[in-house]
Amino acid sequence: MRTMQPVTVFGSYMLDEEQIPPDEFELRVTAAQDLMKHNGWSGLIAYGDAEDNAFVTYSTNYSPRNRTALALIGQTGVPRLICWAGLRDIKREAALAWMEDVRMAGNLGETLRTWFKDAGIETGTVGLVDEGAMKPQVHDAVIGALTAGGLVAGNADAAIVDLMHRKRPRELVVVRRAAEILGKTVDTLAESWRSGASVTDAVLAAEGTAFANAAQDARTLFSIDGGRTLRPFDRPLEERAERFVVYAAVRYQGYWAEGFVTLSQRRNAIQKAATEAIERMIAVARPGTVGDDLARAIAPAVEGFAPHAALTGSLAHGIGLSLHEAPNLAPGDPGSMVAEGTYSLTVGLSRGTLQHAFASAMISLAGGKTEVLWRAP
Amino acid sequence: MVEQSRIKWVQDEMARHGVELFAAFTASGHNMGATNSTRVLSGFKNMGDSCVLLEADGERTVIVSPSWDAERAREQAPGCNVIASDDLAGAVIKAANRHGRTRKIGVDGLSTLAHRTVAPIRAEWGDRMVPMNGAMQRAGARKTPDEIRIAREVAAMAEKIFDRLLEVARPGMPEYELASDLYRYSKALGADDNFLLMASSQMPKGPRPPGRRILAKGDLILGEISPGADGHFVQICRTAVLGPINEVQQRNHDILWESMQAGLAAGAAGNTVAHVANMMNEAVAKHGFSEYCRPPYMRVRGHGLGSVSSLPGDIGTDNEMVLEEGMTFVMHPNQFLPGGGYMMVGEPVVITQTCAEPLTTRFSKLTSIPV
Repeated sequence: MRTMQPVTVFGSYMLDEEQIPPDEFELRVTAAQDLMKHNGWSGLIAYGDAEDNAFVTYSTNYSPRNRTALALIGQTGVPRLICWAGLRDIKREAALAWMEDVRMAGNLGETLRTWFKDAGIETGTVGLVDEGAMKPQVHDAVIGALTAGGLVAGNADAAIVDLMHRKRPRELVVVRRAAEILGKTVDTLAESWRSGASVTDAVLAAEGTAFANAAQDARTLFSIDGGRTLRPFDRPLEERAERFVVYAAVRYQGYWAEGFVTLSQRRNAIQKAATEAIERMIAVARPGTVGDDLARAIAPAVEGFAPHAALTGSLAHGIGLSLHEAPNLAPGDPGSMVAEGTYSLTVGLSRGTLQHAFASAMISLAGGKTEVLWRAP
Repeated sequence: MVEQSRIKWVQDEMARHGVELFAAFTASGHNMGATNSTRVLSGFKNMGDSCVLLEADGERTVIVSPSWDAERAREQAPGCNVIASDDLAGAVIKAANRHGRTRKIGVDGLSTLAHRTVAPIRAEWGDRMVPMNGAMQRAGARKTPDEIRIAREVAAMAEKIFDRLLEVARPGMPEYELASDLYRYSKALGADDNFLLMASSQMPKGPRPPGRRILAKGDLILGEISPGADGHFVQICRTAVLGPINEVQQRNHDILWESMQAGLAAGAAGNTVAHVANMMNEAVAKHGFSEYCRPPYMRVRGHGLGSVSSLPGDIGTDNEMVLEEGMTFVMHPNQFLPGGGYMMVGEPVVITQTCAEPLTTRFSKLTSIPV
């Protein structure tokens, strides 16, 4: 879900090498380099910013808090990280990465030309990751440097998405922890709401639980009209919602967990339908499952209800270093689940303008079985 | 709250540039040091990328993403046409073409968006696009009396957040827990965001992201506390010691406060930003620390604050911008000095005819937290 991006992210940000040791990053980079060989790429240039930094984080552990970064990967060796930080701050930023080769962006064209030389990149194609997300001045500098160096830009997105779709064992350990923190966050929300807390107090208590459990980031959206519309926090609200729909997302050591919860004194038909639909999706989730399979599975449970507008047709999607990873699993979409994938499942339903409900779960398809990482209470 | 004078200012700029339509873009990635054109022109704080199209006659169309955020936009942007879409570029192009495809379009802020959004707009508008980069920054350079009143209120909020830090920080607490507490407290006070830099260490070299470090007796706790509310960011910079303050720490803090006072005195309308920065540096240099008045021991002597306008920009010796009455920014001689570490001292200020006037009521002083 799109949430309000804060001006800076400030949860527990440092790499915990007990959870993700340097050798894990070495293995990831080696896998990316194998991919480069397979595709005939001389190098990879990956873009990341505070909003989305999946592959930059995957290869360097660096998630920019409010600026931009590039991960540069040659055919051998460790990546070079380029940070948009000045002389005072570069050491601080470098401390967030697992490897030592961290530099200031400076004149980006020059910086890239130096890297081409250091990495022995003289000819061929350089794969670009998240080219579409680059800010125009970064994009112009990257394309300019490639052109000046006689190099060609290639689109590496699909190959990298595929690489990151299957979660490595150590990634799964961290995703499980992120899901656990999500569970505690939602439990706090539910307890606060049951104790009569206002919308604001309940949401802030929930975010506090996420941060107290060492979350790197915590986001929420909530509804004050029974689930019809969702909103981010923009001012304190004293009111209490009788039917409280909340979306919560937490990030831990780079990995996201997310979900919707619908809280009410009495579960009505639409809420029961959403919950049943989630269970039906969990039951059919396996490698090869596509959006149409999920839609067929939930059809008997959701008959008579319309899909909620906020989900724009999506039933599930990959989740990991991005909140919304490929594949998107919606009716008609070609993407499918894979073994070792982690997925966020959500059903949002509406009937008329007064009845709305959401339910969610997070699953992994590791070890030949479906593991429910978290499900909405 | 939308300042009508800003709209009028932009309309005059449109006439000067010979454009019939003005497109001001704002990215979803909010920035404490940037103008939020959507908020300034419509009152709406965007969640996704957004754009406001301003016609020569003053008609405003706010285009927001994602599509499901339409209702909040209608609530917060009264008097504007609202279009909500998951394809911002497509929606902007369509809305701009409503009166034909020949009009000249003044553009500001497009480069803050992603290449995938920018490329189709550039392709469609081509030569019709007239760069008006920075127009919104300039429109808001001098804050109105109402905006200065709001900035004072947000500054008071920042002071309360520092009080909270003094109240809850204790040895044994992880940094991230303190940061989280302050963030939630600021939201409870009404801040919709907070650029909060903080760090704790016995001899810090600069601010760093809060981590798992456990606060310990003798730590300096640095706080760049920057709540945003009602479309205005304000920043205060404070330093506290977990335990007793030693002589060197107090001496260093006093030097930085002297630098601050030099900056306040130099910050009269008509002086340049560089003059202010030089006066602040001189106040530190006269104590024998001139070599520390440069990176990596410091960054700048302050900076502008968004969301209306971050002019006059960074308070540095290379900024020749002339200060104007009503400009607001944070003045902060934050830096490392030997023996005491990096310290933060800073106040948000408004430029007057005679000086830079703090918007805070209680100025930075080195504070001891009893342990």
